[in-house]
Amino acid sequence: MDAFENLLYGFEIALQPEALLFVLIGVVAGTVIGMLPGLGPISALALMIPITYGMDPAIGIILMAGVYYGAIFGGSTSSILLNAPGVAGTVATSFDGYPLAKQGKAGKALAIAAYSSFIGGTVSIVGLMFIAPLLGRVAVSFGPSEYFALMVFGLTAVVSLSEKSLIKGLIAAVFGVMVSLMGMDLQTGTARYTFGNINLLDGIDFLIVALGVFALGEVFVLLKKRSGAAKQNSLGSLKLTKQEVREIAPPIGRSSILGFFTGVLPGAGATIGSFLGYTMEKNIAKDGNTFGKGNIKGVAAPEAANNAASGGSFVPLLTLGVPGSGTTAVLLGALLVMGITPGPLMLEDRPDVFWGVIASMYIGNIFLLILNLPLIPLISKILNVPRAMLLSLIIVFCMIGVYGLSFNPFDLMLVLIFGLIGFAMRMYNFPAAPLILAMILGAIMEENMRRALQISSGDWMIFVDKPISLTLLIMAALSLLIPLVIRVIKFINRKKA
Amino acid sequence: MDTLKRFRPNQIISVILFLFSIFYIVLAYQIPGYALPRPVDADLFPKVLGFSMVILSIALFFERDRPVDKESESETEDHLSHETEEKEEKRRETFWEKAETQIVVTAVAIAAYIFLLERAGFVLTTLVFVYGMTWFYGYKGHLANIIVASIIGFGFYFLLTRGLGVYLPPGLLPF
Repeated sequence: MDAFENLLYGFEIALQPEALLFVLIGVVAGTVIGMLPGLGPISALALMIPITYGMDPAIGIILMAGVYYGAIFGGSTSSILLNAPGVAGTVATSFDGYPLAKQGKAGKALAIAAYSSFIGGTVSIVGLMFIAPLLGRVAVSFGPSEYFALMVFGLTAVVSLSEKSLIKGLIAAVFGVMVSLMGMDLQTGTARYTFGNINLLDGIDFLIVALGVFALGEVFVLLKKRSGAAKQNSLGSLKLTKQEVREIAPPIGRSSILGFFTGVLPGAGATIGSFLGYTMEKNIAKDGNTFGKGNIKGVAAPEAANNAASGGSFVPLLTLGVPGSGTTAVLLGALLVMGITPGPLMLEDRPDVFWGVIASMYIGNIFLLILNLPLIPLISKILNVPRAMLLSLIIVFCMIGVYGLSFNPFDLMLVLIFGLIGFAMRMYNFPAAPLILAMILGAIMEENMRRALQISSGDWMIFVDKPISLTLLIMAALSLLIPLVIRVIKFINRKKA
Repeated sequence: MDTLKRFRPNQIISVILFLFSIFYIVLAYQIPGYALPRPVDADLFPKVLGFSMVILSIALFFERDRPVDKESESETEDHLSHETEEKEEKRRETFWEKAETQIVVTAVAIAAYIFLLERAGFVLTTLVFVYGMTWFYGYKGHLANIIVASIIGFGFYFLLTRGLGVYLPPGLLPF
């Protein structure tokens, strides 16, 4: 079957009435959650996972894809309307989006965001469709040592690109692996770090950490910061002129492609993609000096790039089963809950899931454009929901989500603990994405390392002898060393000056 | 307290992390070995992690937070929090309105929610929690609050137990 036939098969799945309904629910729910201050795609996905319990996995993941897209668009909406980007991925959008809103052109900025997201998303889906099967074919030959090296690289890349302190990122990652090792060792049955508590024998579920650190932790941050009461600008018209369309078309095209490839790389993703897109267009544009003052290209470029990057980040997730970002890590967790292990074999074992997701991404994108955009004036009313009520509702959603997973109040206490840890991390500038990624990868990483060493009868050279694993390990080392080298160079330059 | 203030937050955190990793390593050495000899047993990975954390916590002690990068996201965040701080200054807060108090009360309320969930049941606990916390955070529209709390309490209960087949504790209520 070639890509086109496969895609048609995917559409057959994604166009079932049930699937359509859930894409719609996902997109709208994602938009609403993503719009709320502090809550981004990770929290949106974590909050929606409980809905997928007992759902057909193909439909469940379609719902998740919708949530993901919706949350990114929702984040752009609050960036533009309130200058309050919910997550880092839409910060670049606020640079020109908010000035436009202040000029009474919020509707225009939102329309540009929607069109750019649509095109960025579509470009990345096309890319995903062609690259994923190719990469999947390579990945079939991966053994435990390659997987171990790949995960190490994925983690170090996320740490080094987290824009915060390298040391703090590494601490978050090591802590995440520590948490993931709690419970019964899968290979020997030895209990580790359970403190004799039966509830810990099965380990700590990732959803507990995701909801605790990202959703509940964010509630505490909101209590501390008192934000969210910003004044909303009026929307204005959603229409674009032909001249404006002509102006934004080239930046959208360039940023979509740039964004896609940024997304494929582990660790990079929407944030880096959107900043790269924005900076590139600012440098190319003749009117680059008007960027930051409400230039429509400054909205188009980061929006196209961050959506393309989100699509791109599905490539390593679906083909290798190794997420390259916190968000896709949560998606991986959601898939595992539904009994699906993404990876090279998924293409053959569960083509319905793989192609269903790709097709539903197309559909989710179209829904965003034709339904979400006109509904934005209505959806943005959510921003008027009293903050007090919002906070209590988020807490209850966290509780329901975890209780529905394990029916164990002990797990709810863990959510509270991780909520407080997440709050402390935010207050003291520890990045949270490495924690959640490490939490999900940690146990798999150890398993692969030990399997590799079993194959080699304990010879550590197995990680260096194989070219792919060696390359990945070198890249991992470089991803940590390069920021250090840059810091040293900057330090020397400053001394000279 | 004065001695504490002389340290940067990073240094205090680093000491906590250092102690934590020592504790972690001690436990790692107590992980029992597997009956059959294996190239790598269950204790190796934890030991590596524990010692990495020791090194990282020492490094954190000497780490200074980078000054705010002009182009990074922190600028917008700082900018926002700065604005809100200014707003706050205009009005003296009562004890119950202080962020610290609210955080502690929230944590305690969540613990109480968890304790009561299986005893009083999902609907009652959720209703009281949503209403109470919304009121505590400063929303004074009682009617709207009661309506929303009831919708969440009853709505979720019936949606999950009847619609999706997910169990929630009924508790004191008869359904």
